[in-house]
Amino acid sequence: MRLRRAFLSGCALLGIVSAMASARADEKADALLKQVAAARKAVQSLTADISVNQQVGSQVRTITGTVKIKKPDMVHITIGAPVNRTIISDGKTLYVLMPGNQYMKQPVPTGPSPDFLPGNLLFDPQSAIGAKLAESKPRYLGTETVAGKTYRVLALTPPAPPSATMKLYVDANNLVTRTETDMNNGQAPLKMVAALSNIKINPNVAVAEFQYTPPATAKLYTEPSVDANLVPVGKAAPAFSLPTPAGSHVSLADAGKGKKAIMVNFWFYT
Amino acid sequence: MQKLYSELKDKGLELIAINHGDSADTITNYIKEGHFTFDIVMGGEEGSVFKDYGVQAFPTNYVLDPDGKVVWRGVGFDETSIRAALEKLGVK
Repeated sequence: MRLRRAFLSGCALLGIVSAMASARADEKADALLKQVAAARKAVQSLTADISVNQQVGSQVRTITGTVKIKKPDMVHITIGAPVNRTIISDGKTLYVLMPGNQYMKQPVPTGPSPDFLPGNLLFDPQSAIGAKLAESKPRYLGTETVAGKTYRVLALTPPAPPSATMKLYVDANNLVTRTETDMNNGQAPLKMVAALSNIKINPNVAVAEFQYTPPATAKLYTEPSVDANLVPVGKAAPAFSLPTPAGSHVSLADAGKGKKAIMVNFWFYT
Repeated sequence: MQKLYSELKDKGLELIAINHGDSADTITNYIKEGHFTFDIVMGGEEGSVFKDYGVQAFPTNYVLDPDGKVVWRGVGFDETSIRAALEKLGVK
């Protein structure tokens, strides 16, 4: 749960994939997925630069960073401003280092190929998520050239909700090194483009790069509590006068007249 | 919550439910479906009422005395604590 902030988009995708149902069969897509699985399996280590461009409504945000991975389950990701996080996994414990000398810590999820990268980059058809994806019978869209690189593109359109389309871009090495996601959850539409560049496959990366011990001065991050800002017991509740859906108004002062107790509830439906 | 209100409204309980971000239509349908009889008002998406009450999660509930002073508050629907607070105010 804690990682959701660091990997907002990645986690959103987990939801998409799990919501997938069967689509029509596409032999080219299936064949390409097999190639991706084989290529992914052959990756013992990898380093790359990463960029994630997120557009939520009219807000655009681009983050960039570097990625190092090494089997099994070792990860070192550095993400620049405005997120400013470093994610380090030695295969057992995952640390997220945050500004202000703070860190989060959690066990690495078990199972093959945990999906650490946002946007399903380096998508592994043999991971738990990948298996579900393979069932969804993705469609092959043909080739597309982006920034001088030619990719073969697979499209996925899971049924609503969430209403989303996802495109996996398979590079010359048969790895998914670019993804595009369009999501419309009924509120602000989200578009995310994630890509790896400057990719090196199976370089020598020392195990030490994936090891981390929090310094004695570092603090374990705790989520700000959701009741920290509530009006304290004994204080006066702030006045309000708010419209009803039918167009009249209800004020705290009027509503409480002649009553023994007033309960104020805050809720939302969607 | 409707159950709590139905049970205690004649004992002196007033309940105001402040909605965050839903449209008037959505709320109206919800009221119809749920047969809600307490006051439901629209706080809007960025309404100052949420900031005034320090609401960061939903549901958040407050129990106030007749003068509007906070007797109890909490995140979630902790019915036992809410009933205890109401009882202190003579609503039971």
